Amino acid sequence: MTEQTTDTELLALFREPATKEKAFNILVKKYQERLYWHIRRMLVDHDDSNDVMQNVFIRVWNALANFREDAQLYTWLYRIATNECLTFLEKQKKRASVSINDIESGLSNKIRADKDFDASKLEWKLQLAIQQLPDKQRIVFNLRYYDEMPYEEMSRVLETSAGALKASYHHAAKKIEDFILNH
Amino acid sequence: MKRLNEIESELSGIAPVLGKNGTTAQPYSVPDGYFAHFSEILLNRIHSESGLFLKETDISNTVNALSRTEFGDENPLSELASLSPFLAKLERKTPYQVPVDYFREFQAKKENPVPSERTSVYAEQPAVSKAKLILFHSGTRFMKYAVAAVAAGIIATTTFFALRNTSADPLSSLTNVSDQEMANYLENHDVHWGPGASAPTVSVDFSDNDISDLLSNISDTELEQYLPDQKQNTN
Repeated sequence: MTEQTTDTELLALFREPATKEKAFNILVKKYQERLYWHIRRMLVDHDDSNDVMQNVFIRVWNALANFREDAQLYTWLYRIATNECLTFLEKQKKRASVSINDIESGLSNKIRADKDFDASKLEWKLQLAIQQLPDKQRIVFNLRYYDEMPYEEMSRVLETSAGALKASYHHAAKKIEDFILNH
Repeated sequence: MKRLNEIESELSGIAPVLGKNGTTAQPYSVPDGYFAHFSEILLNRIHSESGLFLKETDISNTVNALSRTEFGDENPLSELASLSPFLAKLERKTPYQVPVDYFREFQAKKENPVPSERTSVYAEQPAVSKAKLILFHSGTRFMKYAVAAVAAGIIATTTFFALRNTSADPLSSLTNVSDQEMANYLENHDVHWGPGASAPTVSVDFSDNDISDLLSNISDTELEQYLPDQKQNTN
């Protein structure tokens, strides 16, 4: 069993008590980086991202045995991760009893507080620009721009039509361009 | 990372700045060895949490295993010592207090029961002839609404007429005013009467026919009596 093992094989192994942990271990290793960066780009902070990552995989551990193979495992994992991110952000908003703008400026502040932050570098400017977007638009942009996810795949993750996602991505890209040109 | 042509050309069409100069480089960093150890940390957490929240099957398996082996009909103290030596060492003392002599009095009361003021509501009561129940039927309820409606109607009508009377003809109240009071008022309030008064007068043109109509109901005797009176007044 290696990271090259297919998802179907991993699922079959996970359902066997003797190989359950081993299969899960491989599944985590296979998807952890992609999911981590997806989460990190949403939450910015590593500790928050680590908490959410662990919650995502605990959910996976609890539900994987009942996973229906009519959907791709990769899509399902992204959906869980996205929902966990949104739940986390929602809780933060409620806990702080602040407006969405405050949360966004909070994320921007977190970016500026990063030890490697360099305002002159495009990659940091891009992150600041992305944080100006509403949560769902940010997810669409990240999935397309960084993960190069096809719209059909994305529509299964976000349960939104491909047309709506395309429109959302266009708006997001325009806003980001404007931000970069004006800052 | 080399971007897919499809995505790059799409982005160039929407936002040329991002398409041409955009970067997918990740500016964030992660702690050293984070990904190498993540799955181990995760599995440890899963194990510790599954220990805290045992499933029903796990609980029944544990109970079965325990009953089969060492804790069959064992002394509770030795059972506790096996499960948790720490708890077994603790003094088994209840911290709560009871009123002085509570148990002695309780025993005495049990032996010589005295009727108390505080009897249980569940104690058996002697059979009492039950009073006849009078139910409110739907007809009675209708009657209540009807009476309420009539009462509201009476109040509304009375109020209406009472308010209306307040705006009655003011001349009617003049009957209560004495002549002396009227004379005083006219003297004090510069009121002008008579032909030289500045009050506007209304001139009406009467035709001969109108005059003959008006005077048709007045007898000649009354007219004869009126004319000398007027002559006397003008002099």
